[in-house]
Amino acid sequence: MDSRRTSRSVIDPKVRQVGFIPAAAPQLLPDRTQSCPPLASSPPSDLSPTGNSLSPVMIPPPRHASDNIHLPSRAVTVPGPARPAAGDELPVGSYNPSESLLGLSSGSSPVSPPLSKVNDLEFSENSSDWFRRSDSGKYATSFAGGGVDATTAKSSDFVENDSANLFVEKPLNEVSGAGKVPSTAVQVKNDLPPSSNSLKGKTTKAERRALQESQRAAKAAAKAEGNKAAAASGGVAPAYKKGNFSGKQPSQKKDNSSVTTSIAATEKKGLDRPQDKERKKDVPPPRMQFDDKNRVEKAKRHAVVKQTEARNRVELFRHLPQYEHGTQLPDLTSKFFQLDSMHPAIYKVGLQFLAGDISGGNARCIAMLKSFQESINNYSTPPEKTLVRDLTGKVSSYVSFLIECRPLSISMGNAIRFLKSCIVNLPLTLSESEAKATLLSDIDRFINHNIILADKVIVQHAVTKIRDGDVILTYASSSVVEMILLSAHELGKKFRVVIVDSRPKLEGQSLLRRLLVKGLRCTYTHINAVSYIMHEVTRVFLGASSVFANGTLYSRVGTACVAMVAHAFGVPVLVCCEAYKFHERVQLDSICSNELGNPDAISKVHDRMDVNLLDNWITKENLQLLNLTYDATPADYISMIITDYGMVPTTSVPVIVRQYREHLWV
Amino acid sequence: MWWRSASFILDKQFQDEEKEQEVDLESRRLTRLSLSNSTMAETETLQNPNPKISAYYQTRAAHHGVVTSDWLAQAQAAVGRDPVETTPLGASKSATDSSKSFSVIDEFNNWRKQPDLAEAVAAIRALASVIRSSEATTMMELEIELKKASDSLKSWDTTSISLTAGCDLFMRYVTRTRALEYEDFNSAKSRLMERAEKFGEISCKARRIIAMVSQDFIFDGCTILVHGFSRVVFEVLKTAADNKKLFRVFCTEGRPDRTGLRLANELAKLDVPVKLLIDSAVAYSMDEVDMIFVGADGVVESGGIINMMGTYQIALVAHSMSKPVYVAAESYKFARLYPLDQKDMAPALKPIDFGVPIPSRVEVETSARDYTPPQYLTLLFTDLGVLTPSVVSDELIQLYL
Repeated sequence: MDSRRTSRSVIDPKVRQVGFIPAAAPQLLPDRTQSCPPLASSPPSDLSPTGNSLSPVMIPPPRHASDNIHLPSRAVTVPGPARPAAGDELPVGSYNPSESLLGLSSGSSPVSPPLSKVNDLEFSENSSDWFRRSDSGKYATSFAGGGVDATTAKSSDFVENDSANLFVEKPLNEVSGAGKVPSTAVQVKNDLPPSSNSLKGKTTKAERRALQESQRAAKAAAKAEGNKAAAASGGVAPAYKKGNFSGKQPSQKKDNSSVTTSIAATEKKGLDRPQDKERKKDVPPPRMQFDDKNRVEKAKRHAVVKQTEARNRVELFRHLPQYEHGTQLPDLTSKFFQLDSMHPAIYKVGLQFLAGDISGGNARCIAMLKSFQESINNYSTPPEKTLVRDLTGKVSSYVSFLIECRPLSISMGNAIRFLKSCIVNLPLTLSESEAKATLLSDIDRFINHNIILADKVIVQHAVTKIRDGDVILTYASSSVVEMILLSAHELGKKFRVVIVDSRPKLEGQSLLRRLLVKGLRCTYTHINAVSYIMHEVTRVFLGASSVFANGTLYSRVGTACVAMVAHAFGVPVLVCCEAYKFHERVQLDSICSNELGNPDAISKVHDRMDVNLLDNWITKENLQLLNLTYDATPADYISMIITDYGMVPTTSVPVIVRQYREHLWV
Repeated sequence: MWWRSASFILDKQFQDEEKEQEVDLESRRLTRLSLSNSTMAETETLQNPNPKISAYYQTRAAHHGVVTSDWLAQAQAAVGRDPVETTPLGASKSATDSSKSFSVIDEFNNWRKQPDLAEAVAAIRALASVIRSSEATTMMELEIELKKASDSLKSWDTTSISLTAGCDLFMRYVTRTRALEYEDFNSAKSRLMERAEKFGEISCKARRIIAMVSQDFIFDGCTILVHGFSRVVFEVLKTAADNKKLFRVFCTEGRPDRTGLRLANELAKLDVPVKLLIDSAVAYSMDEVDMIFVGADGVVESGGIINMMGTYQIALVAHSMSKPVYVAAESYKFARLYPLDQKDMAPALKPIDFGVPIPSRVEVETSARDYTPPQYLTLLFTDLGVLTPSVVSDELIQLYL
């Protein structure tokens, strides 16, 4: 599951990856993340395939192709002696060493199996990000490596053959958007062979795959070499020379980290921020597609939660995680006291998600943020790290754990994005305790302002739409709708409530109970009867998991059905949704993004022993049970969306998303 | 019928404005109006004196010169009830702000007397004069004063959407500027006044702008159906006629106050071929019609409009026969309302004269306006440009967030 996060941060969001993805793509991603401690011990591992070389901004497909083709030696490109200049170039330099390494080794020594991958992944997991924000963290370390390279490159003059490669290098950087072409290198740029460009553009998938293969082989070889080198020479410089590059990067990093990182960090930050910001405003990253075997494999390897794949997976929903349900909880619970990296608060919340103890968009979001608060409270920056980067990495790893427990809701995604932008925007001058205090108050502000106050505003608006004599229908259980009904009741409005519910969750029953306690007049029915009950209904109030930019409502499965029936009966449908749940994505169906629940839940009927026809459904090869959690309601069926910005039509969602972003994440 | 039409009455109204004691019907009506104003200021309840009639429609009636027998009766009753007209307006609730609120309403009423000035523009002018005459010494004070003034204006007539919207927009437009925080009070105040004037000017020009932007939509030989009397729509048609466009207009009668008759009369003066229809003949003649023009009392957040009773059914008929429905509305009519259905609005009531006595057990629907949902509207001509209904909400969000 980790790979999902990594992929997000790395892969160009514009490339929507449905179905097959070239094998190498995932691998590219992880390596950038070396910010995490573990890797230092094993220098060779760092050499994973093109991994290190990817700048976060890059457009992956062309990149692979070109990488492999011209194994550029990067060290050369980064001659800049002056520190500030180096700062600029470093990102470039840092990425490339691995590449160049690959390139050379591939030329000289062919295949050996890739060993290092696992380690790489590990690293990537830690620092990799769910959201794009995290990149800055990654930069730093890679950068540090780069810095070293630059200096060493100077000392060791092995420039010769590299000049050719150098040219190639440049265009890559440019393309990638890493953007900082070293000043020295600029002149060279002009001569770059046109072929490289065209290649980049034109390589087909097959070609790219071939390239990946060769690359991998090269890497393996290089690793072997690098190992030797490292072993032979303890010193950094020698190692560097020997491989021309191999191995050295990680080891250097380790050695020099204290020196370089600090410098790099400061310089880096200034450079990357604006860039980051832009990227952030770009498109949201694609989700992990679970029909992509490579990435799933990889994700599994370092997952904390060991999920077993469900057996009869639904064909159309292969791209979503489909796991056996109910198997992991005891296992995880027993691990509670052995956890190493995970903060107990996070672990607890994760388990609660997994067990379904906390459900509902707002509740989950608040629980998650509170657990983040706790972990930030107990956080202390490890030596030789900066808070901004390390904490971002930490949060990312927490998030990946939470995703393993249960896929994030969109509201949680937005909250995480907020938190990360808070972390990254922390002024550098703050001391650790100040920074922590700021973050804690930021989170509090988010919860209060965007969830609690927003709900109050929504209730205020919505209550005006309830008149005496109304019959209000609601589906399943939504916390906001409940508040609205209670508040209208307190205001003395005379209305009746129809609660429509559905199997298997039957969430409406708990809502029903709470409303009855307060003395509301209720009718309870199942969704099968919605068309019967609808003719007496005057308003439909629905909660939301999210609302997309095209006005599509994403909510508990069954909502679309209710909304359509209401529309057919001419009953206004009011959707209550806090603005922080809005998402700029456009979605037309409920297939490409959804969550699958436990298929057993629909095969069994509680308290009905005679309904046992599906008892052994797992053994039936040609039977697949589909238990969807969400569905998408087209905007046409929605009369109004009530948000904390007032009551708006569905067509205005993009405006609010835009405004909201300006308010919030800037 | 023409004797009841607007122009006749309006002319008279001007002549008779001062002589309110005359037993002439017109002047009695006027008496009633001014009386209601003064009594209101006097009691400071700032509510519509006659809750059975929307104050908005009283104003419209004054401007459009439409008389119904009910009204006359009420006017007479009012005169009889309270002949004291010159109650000092300042004698009101609290000594501190009485003069202020008095001046707002007074000012508003002054402006309102100009028949060509929309209610909202009158309110905007009145609010601007509040700033001008304010004796506040701090920004906060001024703002509070302004707020009070606009509140009193709004509560003067809660049924008028454009009045409320105009006041809200004024407050937004005028007071929401960053520069205020950094200036000393006097320059800030003059800046406010500047903005207020500008806003008033914009609002005044709105009708011209709309007439200009809508010209492209009127082509030679077209037939336009118009419902009720809207000054904007009239301006549009007048401009088209001035531009030598050849078109013909169908006017609905516009019951109950027969505003369509007035429009027909005005258009006939411009030599535009006009045909009058009774309100129920809309579907009958729809196949001859090329486009529908309506005004709006208010444009709501969904992009729909609230307008004179009958607009909704015309829009429905037009929609089912695929005729475009164009709405001409100034942007100060954009209101932060979102009606879900017809009953989901503050009702504006208007008595209806059926010509025969109605048995007491028969209920009469006296609501004066209906809500037309956005899906039945084609375009809105506003001073912000030609908008689709969905843009209204965007504009409102920009304004109010």
